[in-house]
Amino acid sequence: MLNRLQIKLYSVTWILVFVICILPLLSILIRLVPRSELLSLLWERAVLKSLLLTLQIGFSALFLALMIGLPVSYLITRTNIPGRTFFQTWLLFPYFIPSFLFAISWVVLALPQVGLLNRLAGKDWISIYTFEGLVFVTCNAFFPIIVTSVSKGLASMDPSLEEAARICGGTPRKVFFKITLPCQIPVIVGASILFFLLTLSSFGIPAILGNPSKLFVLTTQIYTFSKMGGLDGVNKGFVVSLWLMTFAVALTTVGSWLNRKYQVKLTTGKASRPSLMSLGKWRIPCFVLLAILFLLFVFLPLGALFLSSFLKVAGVLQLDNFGFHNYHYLFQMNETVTAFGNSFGLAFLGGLICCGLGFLVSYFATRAPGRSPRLLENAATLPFSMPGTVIALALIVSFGTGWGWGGLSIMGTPLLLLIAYVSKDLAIAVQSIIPAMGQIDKSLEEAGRVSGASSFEVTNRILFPLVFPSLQGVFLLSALPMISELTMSVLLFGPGTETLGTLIFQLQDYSNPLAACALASVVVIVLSIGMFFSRWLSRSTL
Amino acid sequence: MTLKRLLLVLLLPVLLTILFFTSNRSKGKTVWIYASMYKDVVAEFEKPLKEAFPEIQIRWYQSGSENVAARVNAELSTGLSQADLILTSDPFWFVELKKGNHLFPYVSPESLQLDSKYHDPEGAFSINRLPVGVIVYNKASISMEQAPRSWDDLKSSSWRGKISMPSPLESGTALTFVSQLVRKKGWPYFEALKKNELLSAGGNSAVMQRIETGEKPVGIVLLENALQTKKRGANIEIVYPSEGVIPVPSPIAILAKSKNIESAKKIYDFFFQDTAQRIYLGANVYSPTLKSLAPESAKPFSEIDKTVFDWNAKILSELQENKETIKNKFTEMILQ
Repeated sequence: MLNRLQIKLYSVTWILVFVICILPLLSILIRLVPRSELLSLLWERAVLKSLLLTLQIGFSALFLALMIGLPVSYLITRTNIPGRTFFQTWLLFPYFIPSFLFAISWVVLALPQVGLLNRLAGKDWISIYTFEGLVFVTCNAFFPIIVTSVSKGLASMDPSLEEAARICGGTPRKVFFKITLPCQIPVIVGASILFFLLTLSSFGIPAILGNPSKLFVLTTQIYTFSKMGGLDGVNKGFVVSLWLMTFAVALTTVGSWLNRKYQVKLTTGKASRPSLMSLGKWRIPCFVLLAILFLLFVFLPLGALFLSSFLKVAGVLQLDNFGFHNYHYLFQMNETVTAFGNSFGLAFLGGLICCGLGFLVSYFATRAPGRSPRLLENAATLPFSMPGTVIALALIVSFGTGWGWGGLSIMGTPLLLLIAYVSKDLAIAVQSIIPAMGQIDKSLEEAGRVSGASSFEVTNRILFPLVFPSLQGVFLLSALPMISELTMSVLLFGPGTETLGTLIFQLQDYSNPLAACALASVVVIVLSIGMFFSRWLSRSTL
Repeated sequence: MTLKRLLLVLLLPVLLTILFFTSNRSKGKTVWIYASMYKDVVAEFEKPLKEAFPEIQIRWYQSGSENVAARVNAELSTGLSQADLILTSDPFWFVELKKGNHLFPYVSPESLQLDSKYHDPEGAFSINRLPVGVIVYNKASISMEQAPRSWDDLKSSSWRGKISMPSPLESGTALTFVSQLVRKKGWPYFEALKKNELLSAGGNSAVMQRIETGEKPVGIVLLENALQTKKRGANIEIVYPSEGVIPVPSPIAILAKSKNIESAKKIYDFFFQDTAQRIYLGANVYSPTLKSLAPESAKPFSEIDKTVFDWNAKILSELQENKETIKNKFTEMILQ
């Protein structure tokens, strides 16, 4: 049961989640009620076709990402593979880079005929404008979400379970399949759902790679409707996005049901670090495997990005065509500095809010009785699966004009962007904190309660410190994507609130695509510095 | 780390960040301009506008035509848009806005030298700048003798797999290209291009990049993109097709519910003055009023004007009415 303070907090959490995540979508839904004839759009052939394609891409990319992500997670957390920390850092890196940059750099690499890889090979052997290419780049951009979650789960698992099995005579293989893997099922399912939702709602990759190959997914359809559908476009786009909403709700419901059913309390009081498994003669082959993955998923795309950022004319690889003029162009613009300030400030605040609100939501989702906490969890994760375009339009409709009072309008202010970012990334926080909290056995809190501590003190001194290490990760996971968010920012920004995403997009789309590569390179470098710093920070506090 | 300690540690940076955001907000009488223009063009406008109207605070939302339209449409659906002035390169959208009574009728005294065909008959909007669509090719892949000279040349099978254009589903200018080509040449023209495996995707800069890299060495694209890319040193050439270039008349209008109609009118006038029109020319766009001039290294307007595709209010409303049909037919034919 909840005490009075908890009930107050619970209501505040509900109000915040409602305003940030539900109200905007609701205000479009209400608008649709008198327009029910639009609903027939859901069954139109083109829409169904793109729904099918979206699911195909989602499942194929998920399959590929699991095939890659699961072994990688195990190798980098539980074995003595050489260069463990290097891979831990770099194989997760693609997550922090906006996905559309991968699409851009793979276009540079693998265009039919003129792509770098095709030129180097001297023949036309790969094309990125295919279904396979789309799946591959999607996997490239999003597979780290699997690796992060699963390796966190593996690292925080109580090793005594495995040790017990081993003492009882289990072979390493048996221990892995009977203990380690089953214990991780909730984590793997959660990560798969996150991954699937990401691919469902991803826009940049299918827009850049899918449209030329005539592969239209739901998000690109919605974009087309809302951008080119005239005055009624917002409504049409929203109708099509009902499909995405349906899947989001269904998936998160299934996910939390599975989570509850198969939940294992992995952290019970005393915990020690799991011992590393020796790979023996497999050390080198495993290392080579990870090295290839690193080359393919990190080095090649980022390398292509850096390379293009020094080109004067796109696609000409002669020495006299290289130089720093793109960077020069970049730093003579006033907006560059503004954009850096805005993006980092917003990401910092947004990450904090995601952590705080995510903590509250997860706390009540795992601890409050009844059905309403589950609803709260669903509400908080709903916008994540919605395409950014729809959220942005919904926010404009609900907040942008201040409900008729001009004075209340937050259009073009950083606040609107902040709400958009939090609404979109709150799910990441909730999805990662809930398993972390679920793993903490209630016995610990009960012990505190029995010793006479108030519920706040229990949270303050027991629950929070135990969750804190994963909160650091949650902060990065939710804040870093905000630094270069594109789809929503492009609709919501105003003068003085340019962000890095909108600036890259404008450069790419209108004036100077090569300068966009340069700015993207700078962002990548700054992000990697940030990531190393946070690693160093978390290591020194451990 | 307990919760209390963390909150204390975070207090200072959070306050600083909030301060950062609140410090650069400003107040006063403001006019919002939503424009589909390049960033540097907007920057060029800022100074003369400030000098001419020190009492008005002018704020910009600058993005692609589609984004501007999507944002204004979303705002209007709540009953009120923040925008006072809108300038984009999608004339069809302005017709639609006019039909919904969202535009404030105004004919600027500064726009009197504008051809009457560039005024909306009811004065809801006027054409303020004149981008044009041309053919561009990559000189490394195609020699001067082989190069296409007319729109009809693109039908030749020698261009199979080599042509691209922006997609009318993604870019407003592309829709203008398609509807005007269809009006002039009929659907068989696109049948022929389909046989040549025409690629239609992305916006103008995507097409430009395909030409530059040689992926699709021939493209139907906006002149301004080509001039800009050429200035950067790219090995490309511009063809002004013999049947004429495609005009993409780009209107300006005041929104009916603007709270600042008088200030908006003044700025509207400014956009037709020579200062503003010269900024367009500098940005590689033709001016519909300064007809003797042209963007640097482009053909003079008077020469282009002889063959340019027909344009008037009647054509515009006819094309606008058929917009959906054209889009659907194009999608069926080329995009599936």
